[in-house]
Amino acid sequence: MAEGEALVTKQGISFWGGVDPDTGVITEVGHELYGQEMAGKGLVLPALKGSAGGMWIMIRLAMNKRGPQAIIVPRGDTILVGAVIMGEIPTIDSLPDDVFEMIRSGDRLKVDGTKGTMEVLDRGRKS
Amino acid sequence: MKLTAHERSILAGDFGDEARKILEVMVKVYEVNGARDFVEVGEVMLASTQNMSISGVAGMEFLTRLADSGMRFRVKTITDPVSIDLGAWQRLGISEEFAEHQQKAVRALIKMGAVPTWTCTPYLVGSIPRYGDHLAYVETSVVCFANSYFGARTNREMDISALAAAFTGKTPCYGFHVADNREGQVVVNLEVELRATSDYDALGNYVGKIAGTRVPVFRGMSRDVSTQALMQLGAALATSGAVSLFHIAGVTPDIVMDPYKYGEKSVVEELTIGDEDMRRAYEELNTTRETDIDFVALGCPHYGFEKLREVASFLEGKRVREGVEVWICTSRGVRDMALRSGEVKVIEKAGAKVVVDTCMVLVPVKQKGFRTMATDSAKAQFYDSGFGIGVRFGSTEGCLRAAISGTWEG
Repeated sequence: MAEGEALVTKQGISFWGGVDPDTGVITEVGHELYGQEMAGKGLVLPALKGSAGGMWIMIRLAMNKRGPQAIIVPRGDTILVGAVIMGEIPTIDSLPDDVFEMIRSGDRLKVDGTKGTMEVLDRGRKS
Repeated sequence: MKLTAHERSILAGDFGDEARKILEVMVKVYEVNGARDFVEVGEVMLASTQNMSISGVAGMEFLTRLADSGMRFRVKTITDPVSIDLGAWQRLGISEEFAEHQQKAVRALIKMGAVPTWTCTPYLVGSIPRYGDHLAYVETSVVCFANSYFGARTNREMDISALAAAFTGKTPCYGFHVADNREGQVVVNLEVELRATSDYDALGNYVGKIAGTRVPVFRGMSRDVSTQALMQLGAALATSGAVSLFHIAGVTPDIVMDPYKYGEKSVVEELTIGDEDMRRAYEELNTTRETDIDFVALGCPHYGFEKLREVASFLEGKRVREGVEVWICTSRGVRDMALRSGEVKVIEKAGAKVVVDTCMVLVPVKQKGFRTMATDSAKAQFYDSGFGIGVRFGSTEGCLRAAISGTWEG
């Protein structure tokens, strides 16, 4: 079970090479979340992209408490399955493709990875 | 789901927590992807867990515990590069502690039975799958190359699912293991003449963004295209998008055998690449306007022998400019051949370094303080700009000219 503020992107994230493994800051030049931190957030994204090494960056971020509190994607993939089981990260991976249209950055989310349920507790300020 | 007694025993925790989690991942991957059976794999390739700059000490300790718990690979398991040159790490300015951790991870993998290839071009040093072979590869450029060039069948694995395949000899049958999922979807008509290998990087980078996870079909490519060029194309497609398979009309095996099935039947989008697109493709890969170059890094993926010969022939009798670090990255196997034939000596005499077992993406180059890198690889461009280094992308020759002058001229 996890609760946190949503961080929403319509662009895929490459954890290896696109995210700083020590701070959880998004470093991919040109990414719409460039420079933002994901620590403690409920990260809502369309998919992972890039190298499978991203799995280990997610595991390390989870171990160091610098990673997302929960991950919300339309569909899980193999890299995500590895990261989530190894890093014990609450994840929702069975949602409509346009889930990132329904949640906005700043909304407060409550995620139950075991049951696979998610609640929007509070609509945030930003739109 | 058919599991053997041995697999059930691993799942029950008889070989420790690490092995149990690995098999749990295999089961979950099977379910998530709706697999209906397993297929036997001929070869496995591991990539990131052994890499200090990706998995850190956590990955090294994980591998060490696995090896100590008695787990052994049941099928041939090859290895991607690591984060140091295993024979000469001091030369790249790596700390002793980092190198020692890296060596421990390497020892753990060898103890479990890994083939110490430490390269992202293992097909140049003996890993040659046959058409239709099932594999479990992690390194995305090799996934793309094995599926496309050899017509072997592998999904884009991650290390945990690949370790499961290495320990069990099988992988869930879904995705690119199934012929019907290998049909081309995005046709790319080439109305441009491709010459330098970097043209294929630029093309792959451009098309990968459009294709995403779909299968591109190239039409209009010369049948004389070199293996090196296709290595570059695959690596770029796999980096900018998540392409695992491409077809080239008249060239790659799936489409040569069945042009309708792989080249027409499932096409949903068609695009044309002309000179203007190629110009834009090069421009997108130049993430800085800076012209002072302090790092030139070639060989991503690891260069084949022909490229070492090309570099040596350019550098012969020249001298790398003071203050510019030049890395030519290749596999230990290819380097050893070029040691015999003299190319390594020529390259090193000019002041460049032939780097093996690792590369500009996996050595923690950020800490070395490089400001502007020149490369002929779209993949290296992506990763090194992610580390905060400005990158100039161009032809191999353009990069080598910058190595000599210290200035980018394109």
